[in-house]
Amino acid sequence: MGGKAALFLVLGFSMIMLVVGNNFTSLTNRSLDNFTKYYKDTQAYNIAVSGANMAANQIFWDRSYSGGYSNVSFSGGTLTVTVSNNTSSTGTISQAGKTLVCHRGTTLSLPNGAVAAHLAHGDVLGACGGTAYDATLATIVSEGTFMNVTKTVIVVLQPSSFAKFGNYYSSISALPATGDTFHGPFHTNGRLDTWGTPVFLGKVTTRNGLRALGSPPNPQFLGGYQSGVDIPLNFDTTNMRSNADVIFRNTANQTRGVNVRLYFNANGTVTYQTQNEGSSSWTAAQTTALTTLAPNGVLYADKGNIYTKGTVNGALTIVANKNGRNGYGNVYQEDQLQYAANPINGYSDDMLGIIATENIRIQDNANTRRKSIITQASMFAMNGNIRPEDGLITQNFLGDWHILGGLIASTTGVTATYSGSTPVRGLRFNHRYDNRFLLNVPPSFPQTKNFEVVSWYE
Amino acid sequence: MGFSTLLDILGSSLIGGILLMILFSVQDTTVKNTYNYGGELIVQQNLVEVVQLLEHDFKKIGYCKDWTQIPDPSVSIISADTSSIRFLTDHNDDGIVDTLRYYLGPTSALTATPNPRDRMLYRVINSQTPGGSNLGVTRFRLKYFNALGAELSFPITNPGQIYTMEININIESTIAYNNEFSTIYWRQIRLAARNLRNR
Repeated sequence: MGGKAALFLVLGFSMIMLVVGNNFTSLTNRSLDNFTKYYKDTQAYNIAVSGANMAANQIFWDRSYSGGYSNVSFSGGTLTVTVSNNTSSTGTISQAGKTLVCHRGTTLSLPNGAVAAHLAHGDVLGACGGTAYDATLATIVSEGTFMNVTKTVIVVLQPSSFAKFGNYYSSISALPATGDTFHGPFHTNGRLDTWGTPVFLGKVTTRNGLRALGSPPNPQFLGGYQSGVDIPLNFDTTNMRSNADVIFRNTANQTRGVNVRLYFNANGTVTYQTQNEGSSSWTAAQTTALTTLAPNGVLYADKGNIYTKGTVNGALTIVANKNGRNGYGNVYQEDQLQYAANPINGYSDDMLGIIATENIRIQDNANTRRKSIITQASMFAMNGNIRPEDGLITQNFLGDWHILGGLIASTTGVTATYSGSTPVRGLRFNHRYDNRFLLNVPPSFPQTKNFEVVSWYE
Repeated sequence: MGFSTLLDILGSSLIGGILLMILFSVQDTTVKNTYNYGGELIVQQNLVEVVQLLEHDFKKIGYCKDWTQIPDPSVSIISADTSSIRFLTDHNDDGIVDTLRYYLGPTSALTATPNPRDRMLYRVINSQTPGGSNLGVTRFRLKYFNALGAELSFPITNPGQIYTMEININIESTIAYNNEFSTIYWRQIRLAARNLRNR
């Protein structure tokens, strides 16, 4: 009797302990499962991000890259990366030999040979419903899988234009210093040296890093900072030339240079005339609507200097190409140069790009002396700099140079004469970035060699 | 009934009583441990839920399916404080920019729970009415760093400086045995929202 009771007692306690123990074990297992799930998700996500970075890196090295990766073992899982890219190594866009495929909600332009594999895993032909396809964009779809968990990262890239910069310099001779404020994206393809606490309102990128000097050595990067970004200042004028509506040349001898006057009128016309090198006379002035003279928006002077002023009503890029002729490839601003509708005050579709293979100058003349100057344009001086002529820098007057747009140049240029750190003569630099250039740029404005990431979905 | 029988009854009562006391003690311990272990599980599950939601949302700061809607990602963070942040995003991937705001409510909003420290972590999309469920958040602390890695001091007058952030979260069980609340702590050392670096 007593033995049976003891047995029941032991069995009863054992049963209770088993149930309780099982319950605790279950709780522990569920807790572990919870974190295992988080780990799997995180690992799959990291693999997908790695795949996206690998493909983006390939595109930065070769802008025509569209290879991708298929089921590559990576970090204990696998990654599959699909790249949609219609850009050739020369920068032209072509969809020849490619087919649009809707891949899990994202429209991709894929080589014809890769379509069958995509259809096999459920993709469908054509653009995804309700979405417009932009052939200039590159898209990376990276799928990382870890222990049956798949995460996707989608990266969209676009060809990057130099016009997106508020300031671009291959190298900087004058240190950005305390009191200086730079608007818009800023890049130098060398090292950025700063003194004190200059303020950069847009994103700053450099190729060779940053050296902060002064006290305190504390530059303010309000739009972020990134080093190791290589954007060489060069462009091929061939495309621009082929896009040009009018190519101004020396009409007597095409091996010599030509001067071109382009005076913009507020009613959307331009008055132009030319002067052959060696000649003292200008051709008769002609006035034509910009939309008629330059429907593609590009006026090009080959072996030419451009002299310009006025009020721009429309979207236009003017190009002065040296093309081997010394003394040419410059743009001179003869007086105020501004938009008919100021974009600061509201909507404006007026837009000007000034491209010079050498320098861009405010000309020293009766119209520019002893007054502040307005320039509304994105200016690009490939081998030189952008500044007033010497006479305006040393004139016995202190005014402002109001720039709305961007300055892209090989080196920085001085605009005023300083006493210590205070400008006393010339033109104080007063720059404001034209935010429209983040999305829209003047016609055929030069592009950088790289794509830029515009959207990162994860 | 003899003396030995009486001794048997007394002895068995004593042993039975001891066993009963052990049983009660085991039951008490079991209940306590069940509460604690169950509470820890819930706390851990809540933590993973909160963290995954935060990571999902914070990594999409500045993202919009129609990327032209946010051409300058540096303006994506509208305001940032120690326990609140408001930013631009596209939370449902429809190409329309939304504002998303996270902030920690006061302890007085959750006086009905036994835990005196728990608070609501509100997630407000656009102009929605703040709402949500109590996941036992007792601390939600954000730190921000600029592009050079220096910590930004509060108040942050220019959120465009923010490049990375540190997220600290404490979660406790909302109810507990004998007010012994389970606590768990999570820190994301540097969370970088990719879209802040675009362009």
